[in-house]
Parts: sequence; structure tokens; C-alpha cells
Amino acid sequence: MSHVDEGALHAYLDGALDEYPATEARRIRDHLDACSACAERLEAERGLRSDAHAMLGLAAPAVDMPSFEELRAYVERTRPATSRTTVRVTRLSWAASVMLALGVGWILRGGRMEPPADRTSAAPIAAAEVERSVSAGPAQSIESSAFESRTDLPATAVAAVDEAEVALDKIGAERSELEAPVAVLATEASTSAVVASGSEVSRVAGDPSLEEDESIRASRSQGGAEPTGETALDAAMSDRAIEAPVSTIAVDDAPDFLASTSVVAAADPVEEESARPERRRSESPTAFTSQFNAGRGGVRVVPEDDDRFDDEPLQSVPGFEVVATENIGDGLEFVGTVTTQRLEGEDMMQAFLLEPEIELDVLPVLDPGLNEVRVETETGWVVLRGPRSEDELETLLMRLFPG
Amino acid sequence: MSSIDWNDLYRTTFPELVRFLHRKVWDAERARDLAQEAFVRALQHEPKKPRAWLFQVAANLAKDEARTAIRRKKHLVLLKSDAEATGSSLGNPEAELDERERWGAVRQALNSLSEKDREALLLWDAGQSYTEIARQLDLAVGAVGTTLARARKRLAEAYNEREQENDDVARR
Repeated sequence: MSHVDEGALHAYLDGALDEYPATEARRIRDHLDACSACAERLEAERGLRSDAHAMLGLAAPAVDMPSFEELRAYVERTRPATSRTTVRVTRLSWAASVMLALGVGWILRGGRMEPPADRTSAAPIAAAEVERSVSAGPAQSIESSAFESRTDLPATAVAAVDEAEVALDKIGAERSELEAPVAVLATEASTSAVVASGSEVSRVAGDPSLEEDESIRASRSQGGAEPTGETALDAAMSDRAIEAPVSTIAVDDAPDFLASTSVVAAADPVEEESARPERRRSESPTAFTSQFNAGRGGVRVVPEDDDRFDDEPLQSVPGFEVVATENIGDGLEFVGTVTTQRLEGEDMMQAFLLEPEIELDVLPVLDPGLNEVRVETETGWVVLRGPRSEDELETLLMRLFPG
Repeated sequence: MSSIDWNDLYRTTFPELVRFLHRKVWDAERARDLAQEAFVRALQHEPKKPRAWLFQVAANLAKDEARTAIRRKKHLVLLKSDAEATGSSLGNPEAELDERERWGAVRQALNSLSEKDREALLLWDAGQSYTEIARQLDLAVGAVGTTLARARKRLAEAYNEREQENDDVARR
């Protein structure tokens, strides 16, 4: 019988044998009972373990615990509206499916695979509703009544959708050939669904990936893939995107943005965190850029030469309820203010106005689910965070500069 | 709705989290702030396995901290504790010096370990199970004991070497 190795001796001392396979744990216990040499080694390792524990204990700080109630109250004040966003994205996913199906129906009606006339006749009507909803902008389109539920659609449109979804399997490779106007709409909506899926991955990357569920695995498995139209269609037709926070959906984002999202999805969360390069202003000299990093929302930096932000900023965005305004500082030095405002419901945004010369690293880490836009002015950095797209946040940011 | 008793979890895990973080950032106040931040995020996300989640987030925060520590002069204080005094040696310069020396010795000994060995040791000392450590460090459960055995041995050797050096200096 082979002796017990050092690792098993430490597992024994640590009371961790129950975490070993039962047969292996039994073998180790039996051996230690029977083998005097290993019993001696066990005593030596016990001393080593005890010494190491004592040494670590020398570096234990006195822990002063803040009040839990205070902590919870802080979280409640700043909590993003997660339950609501899930519902909205569910609608978006459903909307993407509807538009996709209608797009296919449109093509089928064009003569290549003519389905029964009474079913396709409803498609243009439903498509018109969809088109209006999408063109109204991201937030409006998500909440549009056209997407409230499947039963809101005319029965014939539902039938057409069913038919078209079935037909999808038949046309396979023809997906990329969608050319009709409604098909384009469908693809745009599907793209949004992919962004949503990507943002879910971002959340997982920053936070621990310890709760692997189907959506995460699915997102990861597509991480390295090119965000082709087919991928977008697949995402739209599955449940993958359903749990993504709607706050990071950007309908108008360009395809290259999707590519960067996918790269992040493939990366190891911890490694990505340490390997991520610092973002420099010089990297975005000409235009607004979007960025999703592991565990972070999108950050958009306004270029220095943008003269829309020349005035001194207001402390809060006009037209929104101010929930709180607090000073930022370490008790010795004032470095700026943060104003929390209610967007709608439980959705909050925060406007950080930092003093001149104060660096952005005084800010807390951007939580997943939030986006950020920021601009450096003569009076210091102005940063706006919230569960909205960067475009929307940029519009809100501009309202801080009334001139 | 989550069935987790967050109050209880906070009471039992917060001190361990601070200890874990302290041995990474070597600043008691900052370790407490980061532990708070980890809890704030946990309360926001309500993960299914909050303890393991907290330590993973804390490890990431500490990594972030290490990257910015040199530049950092100030930080945002989210919450103030009831008691401002955090160290038992506060106000006693001699005791504070002793404490700093002790911390320095342990810090140096820990730095002599490989990153994986150090992480395993700190996680174990913060109360994580072998299974949790294995998951976090991407190890087999059976390899955790070996990693800990190696880490403890190296820590003790490095600490004793430093003590020996200090004794030699004192005798000269």
C-alpha cells in the first residue's frame, strides 16, 4: 500500500477529506491508522501548519465592521432596476424573433417559397407596426405595445410568424441573403439581441463565473465567433439574450463594437482584469467610441476638442428628480460631488463632478449593467453613469452644459 | 426572493474578507473599503453562492487595487463606520511600529510564494473550503492540499530566514 502524500496529510489536518472522493478519503484514513511512518509525518506537518497559521495571524488587522443596515441602505439607494430590465429584454428578444420571422415571410412572399396567401397577407401590416416601433428609438421600441405580448398581434400575423419560423430551418444558408426592408429591420433587432448577450458575458467576466447557467455557457461558447448575421439570428431565436441587462443595449452600435464584445466574452475574467490596458484619451482622437471590458459597462470618452462642453457644468441634469447629492472625499480633502437622480422607476443615474486635477481613479469601479460617459472640462472631469445606452447618457450629459 | 441571510453572512464573512484583502493590499483601511465594496456588489447581484462570489470579487478588486495603488492618493469613501479607530495599536507609536514590523515580515514571506500558492493559502486562511479554493484557482480538489502544503512550508522557511537575518543584524 502506497504512503499518503503531503497534500493528503494537509487535507486530513484541514478536515477536507470529506471533499475528496469517498474511496480515496477512506484509503487515506485507513492508511494513517495503520502506518506509523505516515503518522509521524502527520505530526511534522501539523507543526508546520500551525506555524504558518500563526505567522499569518501576525498580519491580521483589527476589523472594524460598518453597520450592515447602513450598507444595505446604500445598496437600496443605488440599486439598478434589474427585474424590470429582464422583462424589457425578454420583449426585445421576442421582438427580434417577430421581425426575423416577418422578414423571412416577406422573402417567401417574394416568390421563392410562396406560403399560403392568407397567412402572408398579414405580414406587411405587422411589419409596419414593427418598423414604427424600431424607428422610434431603443427605449421606445422596447416598450412599444407591438411587443407587449404575442397575443397583441393579429392572429394572422402570429400564424405567419409560426410559419416563417418553421421555414427558417428550410432556408438555412439563405439567411445572409435577407434583403427586403423588413429583413433589414429584423437584422438590426437581432444585432441588439447579440449586444445584449455580449453584455451579459461582460457581467459574468467581472463578477465571478461561479454560477454557470445555460445562458452563460451559451454566451461563452459563442465568445470567439465572428458576430456574423447568422450568429445574430441564432442569438435572437434563442433564450440566450433574455437575461441580459437592457441597460447596455445599444441598437445603433456598429458591428465592430460587437466584435470587441465577443473577444471579451472569450477571455478569462481574472486574467482579463489584470491584462486590460489602461484606456487613454489619445486612443479615441476622432470620434466617440464604445468599450466593453470584463466586468464593466461601456465607457465613452468625449474628445477634448468637443466644444459643446465648454461651459461650467450644472450639478444635476435638469428635469430629473434629485435623490441625493453627496461630497466625495476621504474626510480630509474634498475631491468632488456625486448627484444621484431618478431617471424613471428605480433607474438611477449619477453625475460625478470632480475638482480640477482630480483623477478618475477616485471613482468607484463601474458596475456591470451601467454605462458611463465622461468629459474633461476646465473645471475637472464630469462623469455620468446610469443604466442607459451611451448615446442616451451623452444626451443627458450635454444637458449639464446649458450654454 | 433570495433566501440568503445576508445579515448573518455579513457578520461571519466580513472579517475574513478583510483579512484576505489586507494580505493583498497591506492597508487595513483600504482592505475594509474593498470588503465593503464587494458586499455592496453582492447585495446588488444576490449571487447564488455568495461566499465564494465575494472572495472572487474581492480578489479582482485587490488586483485592480494593485494596478492603481501607486497612483492612488485619495479614494471615495462610501460609508463611514461607527468607530473611526480601526487599529488596536492606534495612538501607541511603539505598538504601531511593532505591528508594522510584523506585517512587513509576513508580507515579505508571502511575497516569496508563487502567486497560486499564496492565493491558496490566503483563501484557506480566510475560511474557504478546498472545493471553493479549487474552483477559484482552477485546481483539482486533490491538488489543493499539495498546494497548501508547499505554501505553508515555503512561508515558514521564508519567515524564519528573515528572523534569522534580523537576529544576525542585531548581534553585530
